[in-house]
Amino acid sequence: MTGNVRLGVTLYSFNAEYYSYRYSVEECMKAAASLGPDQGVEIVGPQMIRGFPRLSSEFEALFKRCVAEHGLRPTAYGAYSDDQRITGRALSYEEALDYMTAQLRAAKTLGFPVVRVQPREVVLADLVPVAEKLGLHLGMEIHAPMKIEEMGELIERVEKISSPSLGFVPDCGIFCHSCADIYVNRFLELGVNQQVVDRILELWTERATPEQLHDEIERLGGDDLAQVMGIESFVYFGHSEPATLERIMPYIRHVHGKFFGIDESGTDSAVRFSEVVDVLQRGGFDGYISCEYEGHHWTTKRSALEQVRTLQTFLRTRLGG
Amino acid sequence: MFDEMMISGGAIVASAARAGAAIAVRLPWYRSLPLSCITAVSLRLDGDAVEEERLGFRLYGSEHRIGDLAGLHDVFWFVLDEAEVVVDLGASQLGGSHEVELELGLRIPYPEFGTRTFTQVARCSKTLDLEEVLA
Repeated sequence: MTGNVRLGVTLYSFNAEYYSYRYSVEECMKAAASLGPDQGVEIVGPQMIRGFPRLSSEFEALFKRCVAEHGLRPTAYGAYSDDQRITGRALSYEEALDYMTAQLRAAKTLGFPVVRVQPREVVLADLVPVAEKLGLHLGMEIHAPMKIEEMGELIERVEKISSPSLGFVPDCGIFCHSCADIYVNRFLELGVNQQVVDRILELWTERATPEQLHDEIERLGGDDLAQVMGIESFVYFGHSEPATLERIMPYIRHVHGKFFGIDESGTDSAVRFSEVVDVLQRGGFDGYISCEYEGHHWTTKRSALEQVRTLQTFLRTRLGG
Repeated sequence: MFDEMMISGGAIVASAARAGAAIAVRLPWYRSLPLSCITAVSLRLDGDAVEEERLGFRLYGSEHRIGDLAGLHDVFWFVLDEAEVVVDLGASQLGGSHEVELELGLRIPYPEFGTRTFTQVARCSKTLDLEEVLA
C-alpha cells in the first residue's frame, strides 16, 4: 500500500520558550518552518488563542499570515472538552456540545483538517454530524496509559459509526520500550534515592499497577516526590505494541510523534519510533507525524527546536527519504 | 508546572487610610484555564499566613473574592497574562523587602483517565522588593 507519511511539529513542543516570552506565536511558527518545506503545524487551542474556545480575529489573521509566509501546512487543532471546568457539576448536553462546536469552527476557519479530541461521549454521540458538516476529522487521542490492546469496545463503536469524520490520533508515548532518560535524571537530581528509582523502573518493566507501584514505593520509604515519579512512569510511558496500529489504520488521519529527549541513538530514549514508522508505512498511512517534544516537563535546558530537528532527521531516514 | 515563574512581581499600593499589596502572578500551567479551576489561593507574607478574607484575585480589571472564583467558569485566564493576588494590609505600611510564599491549587478540567479528578498544586517563594505606589 502506498501512503504518504509526512512530518510536522506541534507548537506545544515550544512550551517553555512560549511561556517565558522567548518565542512569540510567530517565532514558534518560524521555528516550525525552519524544520523543512511544507512542515506540518499543530496547535493547542487554549495555549495560543486568546478568547478560547472561540477564535479571535487577531489570532486568525496572525496564523493565516504565518502559514502563508512560511510555507506551513496546518495539520491538527488540539481541542479539549474540559468536562470538569464547572465547579460541582457535570456539563449539560448543550454546554458540552457548544464548547466543542466553537473549537471545531475555530479549527475549520484556521484550515486544520483534523481536530484532536479526547474520547468522550459528546464526541461519539453528538459531535460527528457537526464535524461531517464542517468537513473535519475528529481524532480521539490515544494517550498513555491507554493501550490499543485494551480498546476493543471503543474501536468497535468507531467502526459501527463508520464516519470519515471519526477516528483516532495515536500518541507515540503509548509505544515505549523504556522510561525516558530525561525523566530519570530529573528525579535523581531532585533527590529520589537510587534504590527507589531502580525499583520504579523495574516495576515499569514488569507492568505493575499504580496501586502496586504506590505500595512498593511506600515500603521502600519513598516520599511524595518518589510517588510522583511512580505516577509519571505510568502516565507518560505506555506499553502498547506498535503492531496494534494495524487494527485501527483506516481510522488514523494524524499521529502525535510524542517524544521526551534524544539520546546517543539519535532518536528518543524511550519511544519505539522505528517500529511505529514501519507499521504506518506498511499500513499506507497518509498524514502527518506531528513531532511533540515534551522533555520540557522535566527540564527546560534543552533546545526544543534542536530536539525536534534531530528526531525529524531520524524519522526521515527511517521513512527512506 | 512553571512554579518558579508563578510570582512575577509585586507592588504596594497605598492611599491615605489603607494599604494593599498586589502580587503579580502567572498561571502555573501550559494552557489557559477558567477561573473556576482555581481551587485554592494561599499566601504567606514574611512567614505569616494571610487570612483568605484579606485576599483577592484581580484579572482583566475585575477583582474577585477567592471564594467567588469557583463560580467563574466563563472567565478564562489566558496563559500568557499576569493576574494579581491582592492583599489588604489595613493600616500597615509595608514598603521594602518581603518574603512572599504563594500556593495555588488548580483543578485540571480534562482528567486523562475517565472521571478521576486531577489537581495540581503550584508553590512559589520569592523575596520581593515591594515598591510603594501611591494610589
